[in-house]
Amino acid sequence: MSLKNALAPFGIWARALARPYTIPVEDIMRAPADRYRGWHTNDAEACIGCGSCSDICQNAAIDMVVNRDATKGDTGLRPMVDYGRCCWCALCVDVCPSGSLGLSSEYTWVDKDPEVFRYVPGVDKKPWDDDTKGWHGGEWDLINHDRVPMSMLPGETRGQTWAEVVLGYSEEEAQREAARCLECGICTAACPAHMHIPEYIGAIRDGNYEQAVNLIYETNPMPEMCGKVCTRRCEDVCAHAKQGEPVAIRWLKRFATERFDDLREVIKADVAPIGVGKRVAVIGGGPSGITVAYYLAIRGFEVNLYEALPTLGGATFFGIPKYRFPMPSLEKQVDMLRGAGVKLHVNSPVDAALFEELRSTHDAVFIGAGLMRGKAMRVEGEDAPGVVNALTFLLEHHLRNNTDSDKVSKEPVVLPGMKVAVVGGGNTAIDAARVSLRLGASEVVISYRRRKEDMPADWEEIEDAEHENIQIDVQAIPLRIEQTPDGRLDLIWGPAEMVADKPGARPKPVLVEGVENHLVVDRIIGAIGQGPNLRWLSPEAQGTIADKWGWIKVNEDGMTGMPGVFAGGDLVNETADAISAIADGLRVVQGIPRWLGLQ
Amino acid sequence: MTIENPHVEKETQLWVGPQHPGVTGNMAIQVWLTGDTIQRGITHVGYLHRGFEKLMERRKFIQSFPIVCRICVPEPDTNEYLLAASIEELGGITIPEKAVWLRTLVLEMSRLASLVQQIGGGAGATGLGAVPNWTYTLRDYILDSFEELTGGRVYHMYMVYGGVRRDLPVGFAERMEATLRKIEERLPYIDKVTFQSSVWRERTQGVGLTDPAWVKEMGISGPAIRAMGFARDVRRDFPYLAYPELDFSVITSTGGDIYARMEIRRHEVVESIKIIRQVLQKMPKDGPVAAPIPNVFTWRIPTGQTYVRAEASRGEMGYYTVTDGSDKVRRVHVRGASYVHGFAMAERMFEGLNIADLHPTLVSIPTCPPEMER
Amino acid sequence: MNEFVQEIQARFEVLWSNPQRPDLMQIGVRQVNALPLLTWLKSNTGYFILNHFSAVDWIEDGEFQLTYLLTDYAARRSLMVCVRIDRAAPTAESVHHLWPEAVTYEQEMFEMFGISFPGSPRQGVDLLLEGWEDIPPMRRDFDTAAFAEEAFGFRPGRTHTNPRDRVAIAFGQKGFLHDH
Repeated sequence: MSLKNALAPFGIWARALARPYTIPVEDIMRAPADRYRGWHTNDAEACIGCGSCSDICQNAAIDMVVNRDATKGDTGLRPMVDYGRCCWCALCVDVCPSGSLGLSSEYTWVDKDPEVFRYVPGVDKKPWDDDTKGWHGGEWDLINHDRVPMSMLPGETRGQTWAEVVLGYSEEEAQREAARCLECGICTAACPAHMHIPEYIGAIRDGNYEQAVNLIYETNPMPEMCGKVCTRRCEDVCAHAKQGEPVAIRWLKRFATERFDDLREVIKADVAPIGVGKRVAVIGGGPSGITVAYYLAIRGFEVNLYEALPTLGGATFFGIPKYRFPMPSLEKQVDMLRGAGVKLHVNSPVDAALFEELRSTHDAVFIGAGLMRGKAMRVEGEDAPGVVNALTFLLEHHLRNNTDSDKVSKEPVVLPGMKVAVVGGGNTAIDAARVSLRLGASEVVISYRRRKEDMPADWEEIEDAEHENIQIDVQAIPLRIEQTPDGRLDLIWGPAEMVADKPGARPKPVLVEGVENHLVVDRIIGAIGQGPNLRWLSPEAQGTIADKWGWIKVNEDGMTGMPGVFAGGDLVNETADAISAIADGLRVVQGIPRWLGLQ
Repeated sequence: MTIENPHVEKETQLWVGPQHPGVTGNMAIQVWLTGDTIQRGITHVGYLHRGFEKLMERRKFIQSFPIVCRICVPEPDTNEYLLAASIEELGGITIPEKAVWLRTLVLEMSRLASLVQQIGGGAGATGLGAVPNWTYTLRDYILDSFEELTGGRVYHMYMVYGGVRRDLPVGFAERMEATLRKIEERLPYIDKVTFQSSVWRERTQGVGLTDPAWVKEMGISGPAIRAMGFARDVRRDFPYLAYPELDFSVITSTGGDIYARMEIRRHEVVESIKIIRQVLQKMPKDGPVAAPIPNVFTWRIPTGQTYVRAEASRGEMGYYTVTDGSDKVRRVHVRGASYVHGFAMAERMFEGLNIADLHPTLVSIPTCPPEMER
Repeated sequence: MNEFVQEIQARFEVLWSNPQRPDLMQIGVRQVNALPLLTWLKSNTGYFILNHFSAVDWIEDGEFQLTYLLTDYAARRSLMVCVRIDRAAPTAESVHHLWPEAVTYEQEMFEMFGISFPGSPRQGVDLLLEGWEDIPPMRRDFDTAAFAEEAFGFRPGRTHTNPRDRVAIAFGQKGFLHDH
């Protein structure tokens, strides 16, 4: 043992005069680190009550409690945290799709009552509610904000072909996209038909495609149509849409139905034959009529369906171009009606006499005749030759190309090399523009009164049109149409200024006086909406079931003012989309048996 | 003249722990003594068994992170890393470069915090109260850095599948450097009262020995085996993360006693500081800290099994993970270094040990009951 | 690594092999070959260290899997030996005479899975559980959620509403293909 080692321990006496090594208490009471994970905060207005926080919590510390009414896009539930179980891992923050949940950096809270350590963040006010420090979403999230991209025909060349633009998901892509679903079910509220969306997406994810299409058919007899062209309000409220791209619900539905060439063997209905011996007449073979016919037929009703055109589908036939919704897809869904035993009467317009006959020979009549009158632009000169309505334009185009109807001229309105202007901003305007392009138009311009973000058309449709080099002029108010000396048309328009309207409403376009712009074209297509046309009914019948503009009013069972006469679809609801028409049909599917005393 | 002790032949049975300040956590040693010499001893655990392995079988993959970090208080990050690495291997996830370095950083920070704590523990077990006071303070400075980086002091939950949850905060490297300097300044004082002190040397040298030939074939690792001349270190033998790109030494000694094990730790603190400085210097400045992973609610991983390992301060830590195509693990077996150290090796060392040397021996191995029980 | 598997194959039947990583080979052998193989590996190869020893319950196959992990530190490689045993009569040969550390592994597997290793010194001695009377808790058919519910429960006053159910009820979600 050396002396050095024996004395070594005393060396630390050198510290005696140094600053104390321990930390004064004031230093300990320092602020927590910026990312410290303390008590929860929640922006209760931004929260959508999807319950992802509750699902991820491995300690079962989070309950979803009722805080407000459920609305489209909000379950009305808010997370309540039990701090007897919380371990402050912040996984709840990382999976929060709305980004509303966070952890403040505050961690000290002393109270004698253990019950207070359970509260609804953001609803039960706390001192740290506005703490911007702590652990918040946005920097890095556990959920995947990006959807699996859809393959499409290239934009530059597809304008020359009628082939379907969207190519559909592969099995791997569909399963990957389906796996993004958080299964909160918020989408089902926004869907007019309240389809079983999380359930069928889950079935797709697991590869149970038969189960998926059966779940889809629970509420939708035209899923392949919806899978291709639905207005998909579900995706607008998808939890993922808050910070990223919504789950591609529409494309997944399309994928599931396209797995099967013939759905008749796949769909397995199991319902009581309550309608045996009862007869129902359906006027109009669009989505609402098909819905009523299909679900009543599988319940044993004898259903006669009357369609004025040579083929079923209604607006989904004559309105939607075939590069979006091809004929075989439509045929597949009509086959389901045949399989269910619906008697189809095509080329059979109903008039006042036939309507009375149907009422007397059937237990119930359903009117789903749709909006067959294109609205006028109400500008001077719109009766000039070469100015057409989009509805007529699309109807004639589809009859000419997809049926053997002899009621339309063989010559299309738009000929190769023409320059076309389309007035309007809805899906019909986009469809008319893209059909014109495919008919050979050299240049197509869409002219719309408001801004691009105000366009009612689906954002993907707008993008698709732009990819096809269709020009979109916005804030353009049509003033009048003049014929040029060389036989062309001059659409004279004035620029619009956007002026704020009442709160919640879109800003209004107001004409900037004194400026006139000219758009010289060969054809002008007006696509500014459709209206009802009930002139095929007797005036008495019109007065009983409809208001003076021709809109039909129905009760909660879908029945009109005329006993036994039900209605649905675009004539009844204001949204004028297929899925709302299907939802109307579903209401009538319950209403007719109830009215007949069958339940 | 010697006075005959009439009781010398009698055997006394004694329970040390589970509530005993000298025991590293909640465990008990049942010893049979003759006089103050231990004849044999048995390790008893079960005082804090939480069934973590079973809980993981009932949870989605991501939900296991808040569980595994609780397997080891001083070094939660090794558990986070091993769970992440095993699931990433089975689920086919590659982590970005930046995450590799950030993971290396926290693993080494946790090793450093744990090594520093163990030096204090080792000194404390021999009655030197000042050293644990210093080392626990130093550990707290490291915990400050953890708090700043991960949002948590003790349980960090910093790693996730795909990478880590956050990038370095601004100015982190400078503050970390200040902490490393504090540790370096303190080391000479620790040396003076322990490694250089003849009293402490007397107390620890030649105590807590075991047969190197026996140890060689067992799954013994860390300072316990490096103190017997075997240069086994997972960071060197089975390189992972950024360790292949780092310059550090595997410290060995041949004493095989308490002193040798503590001395290795003392040198490893220096190596660890060296590694942290290198990591902070070589780490890429930009790039994502995590790769996207499938939806954590529905992620399914095909059938497979793997064993991943990492070097914790106590030695080799390994996760045996089995997946079965579902959204949960089929089995996770957490193999902590103490599992072998605390039973087979400790029980062998107890034989012939003086009762007063029991705690310094246990602490020097060391044993950590939470990872023995999970 | 593959040559090494062939070397084993020459002596013992290898049911399957899987090179999981360059440094980790997995092989499956029959139970009768397990102890001879492990003994041979320990005495004749670099794989003389037992790093890890554990069991997996494959309840749907009616089998337990025993997994031995042996490491060759010189070659920096590991070999995972997997053995399936009958779940109805779970007995395996002890390896504690090769590696004394295996006593604890075997003690724990007896307690947690009910797998017995005759001859192993601490079979049946409590390791982690005291007075446990239920089925061995690491078996797949032991329901931890039910156990926790019974033993601990939730604090009173907690209510949870499933968001999906609330939406379905609030908006009257129905199905028309089946009578509900």
